[in-house]
Amino acid sequence: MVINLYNNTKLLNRLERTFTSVATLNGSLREGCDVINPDIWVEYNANYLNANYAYIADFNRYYYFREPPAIDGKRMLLMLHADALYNYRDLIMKSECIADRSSSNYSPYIDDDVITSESGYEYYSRSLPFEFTPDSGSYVLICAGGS
Amino acid sequence: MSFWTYADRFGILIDNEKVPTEKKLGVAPGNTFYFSMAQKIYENFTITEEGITGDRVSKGQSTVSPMYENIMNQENVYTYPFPSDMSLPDGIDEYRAAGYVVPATGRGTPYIQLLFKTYPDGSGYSTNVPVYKNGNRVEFLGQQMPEAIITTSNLADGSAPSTTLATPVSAIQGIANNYWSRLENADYFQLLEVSTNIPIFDTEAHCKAYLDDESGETDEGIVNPVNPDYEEEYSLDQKFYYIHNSFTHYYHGTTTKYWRNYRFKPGYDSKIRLYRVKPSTSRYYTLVLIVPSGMTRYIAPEGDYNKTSFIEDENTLQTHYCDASFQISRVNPRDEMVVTSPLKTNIPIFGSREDATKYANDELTIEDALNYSDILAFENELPQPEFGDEDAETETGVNGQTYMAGSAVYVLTRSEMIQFFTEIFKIQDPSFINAFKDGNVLFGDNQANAIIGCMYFPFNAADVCSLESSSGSIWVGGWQSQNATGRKVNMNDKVLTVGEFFLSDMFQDVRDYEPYTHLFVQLPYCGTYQLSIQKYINKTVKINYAVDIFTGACTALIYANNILLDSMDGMIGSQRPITGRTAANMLQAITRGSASTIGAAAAGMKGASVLAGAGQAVFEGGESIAALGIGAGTQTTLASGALALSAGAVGVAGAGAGAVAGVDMMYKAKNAYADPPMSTRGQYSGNLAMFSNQKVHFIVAMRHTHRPENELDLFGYPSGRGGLIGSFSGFLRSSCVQLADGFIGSVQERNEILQMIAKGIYI
Repeated sequence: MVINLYNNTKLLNRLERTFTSVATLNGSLREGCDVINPDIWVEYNANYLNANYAYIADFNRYYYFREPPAIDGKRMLLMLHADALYNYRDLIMKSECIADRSSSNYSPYIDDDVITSESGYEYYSRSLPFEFTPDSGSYVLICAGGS
Repeated sequence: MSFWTYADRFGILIDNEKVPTEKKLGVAPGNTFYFSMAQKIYENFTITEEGITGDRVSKGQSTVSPMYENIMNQENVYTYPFPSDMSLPDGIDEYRAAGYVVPATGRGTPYIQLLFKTYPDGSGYSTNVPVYKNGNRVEFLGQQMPEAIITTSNLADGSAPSTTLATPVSAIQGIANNYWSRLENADYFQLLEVSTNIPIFDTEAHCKAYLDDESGETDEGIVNPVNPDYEEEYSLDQKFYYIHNSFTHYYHGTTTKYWRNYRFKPGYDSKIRLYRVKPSTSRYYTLVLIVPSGMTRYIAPEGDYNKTSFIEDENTLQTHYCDASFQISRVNPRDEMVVTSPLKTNIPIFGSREDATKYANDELTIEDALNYSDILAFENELPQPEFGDEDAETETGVNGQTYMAGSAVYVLTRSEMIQFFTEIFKIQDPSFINAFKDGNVLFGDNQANAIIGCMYFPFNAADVCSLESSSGSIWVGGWQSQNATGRKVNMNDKVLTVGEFFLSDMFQDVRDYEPYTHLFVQLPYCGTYQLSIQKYINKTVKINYAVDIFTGACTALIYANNILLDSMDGMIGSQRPITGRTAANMLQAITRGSASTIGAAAAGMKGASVLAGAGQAVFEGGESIAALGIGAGTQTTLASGALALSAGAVGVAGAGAGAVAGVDMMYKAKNAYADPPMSTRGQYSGNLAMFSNQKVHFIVAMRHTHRPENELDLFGYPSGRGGLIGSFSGFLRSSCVQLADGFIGSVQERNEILQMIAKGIYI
């Protein structure tokens, strides 16, 4: 099968990938593998060690290297894992969700466990302008009768 | 701070991030502050001591055009804005703004305002739009713009300018045509008056002094003082309209993302709206934004994306300020992949310009918008109550009783009070005793009971009562004083206005609320209480005192934006013991009040010993009077009582001074407490409150908190918002995802996707 090897510089928890092509080569599937975790025997080439990502057209999937390649004489074993996040990125983008946390749609007024509280308080005092004047007030006299 | 400009009908908020922090924004005469509201002229501008230069983001133009310099050579050239209430020509229902502000040389208003207008088909310009100055209509200038250029020698002091029209009309027309050529895609536009809080100076020297002064205290020569009305408007946390828009392209194995965040602040009575256009030659929609008058905007690129601006050829059909265009969906030129360009906005979108106009004219409502359901979802708006009548503020009543018969209430000064009691206690004068007894025979042997009460209030009683205009004699029952006088109270019909302030938030997030931040109020004569801060934050907090002069009771009324939310009772009048009964009542009240006192305030009062002495003196005096009875005592004992009263008054004053020190100590001591932040207590009784704070104090107790600066980018903020994953950008964590139909992967892959999103992904 034909394998396209790439170098991907984006972390796997991102929906996007940035590829640099490393090589296009032929390889053979090791027995007992599945399409999600294929192990591929390829001819040894030191340049392949620069790759960390692959595309297998037969499986219509992108893969990342789940482990570094194993080298056996003139052969290398590429141990891959299907990159589900990238393979289904378009469908994921069209999927509904309710966000727990978000950088774009959020409210800063929801309680947030990330906020840490240290002990103690800071106090700010503000007074209103009116001031009672105990030393110059008024006496009120209430009497029966009057006119 | 954000610099803002404000126009009569249009405004723009300059992105503070664009202002270099090491420089202040200042403009000197002879330099240029170029400002355009029709184009994004100053997307990236720089400020130097020589003035401001800008990087044009579209349809470039030199900083100073020849025509512009022509205008600069016209000293003291002014034009005037169109009045906001002018009638528009048929078929014209809105205007767009464009223009610039130029500091003039010499004395006078430091900028020139040019007025332009044109019409949708560009075929001509209005010839009959009135231009006003100082409220007077100015003669029309010509067949083409500008409408009016007025030369005058003196406008700086607000004096009426001459009405002579400027002669170099051709130069002005040149500028106008220059604008026209660059704004030809606009249907019509009009430049309007611009005000700004960016300081503008009368001389270059003053400007440089301002720029060089890092303290920010040098403000000599500023000729455009900030309009406090505008400042207040802009300081309020008004609702923002927003547009979150992102563009993502997937093809050829590469990914590019563009992200844009707009926020708009609405004007006073304007509506912002979008309408949808699908050009025949295009496969995607364009949304045209109509920004009405009084609108401000800033653009805030966020995130770590490699570009933060539009790509003109792909994403914008027009680059006019008012016509920000947004793709919402498209297929790329090779039809290889659907491009998702989600749009998030709470601005109503209409299907046509006509509908958008109807919305502006109140012929359609927001419920008719194409995205009304989305708006509700975005805003998570609270349903409006459908019960009762709308009530923007709490109207409190007044005590309408008049004290005309049965009993009389007098307000006395200290000297009047002494005069009264001196006359009352002329017990050595048999004629007086007989007259007093004759006048109060209804009271039998207890004629003194005709004096129902005497209280002292720590403020001018006229603040809460309507009084007779002048003092008159005092009636006790049927006895009329010969010398003592007082002002008779007609009604107890006023509330004491203590003051108000705006309680602004500090963090603008959850930390402004409990349990992070607590609000306390120390109400003189009522006590110290914790208020629920969420009721008052970002609102004008006002306090009035209602006082009952009969009982001495008071109620502090606490308003938030004129809505009465809390009220606390207290006792503000302290009884003066005239009879044995009142003295006993007073002692009982003090005993009760002391028992309810937790002691936070009283404990720090250095005047406590003075208080005790004063109180004792008052009681002793009172008891002496009581023991006498009317006509039964001796002059010696009376003198002792009077002396005691006097000593009591002195003691009160001394204790008041001690209380100030005590309160100060109390504030300092608070910092030692971690939880709870403050002690609260109920009302004071008797004279005790006079030793406490005499002003209303609000105390905000804030926990020391820490919110990481990179939290938003790295981990997001709590959301709770729903929608397509593609409508989010940056970090997203969701434990509730429903994959869209069409997923053809394995269960393992599905679970992996859900697990990764539950842990958090970056879009």
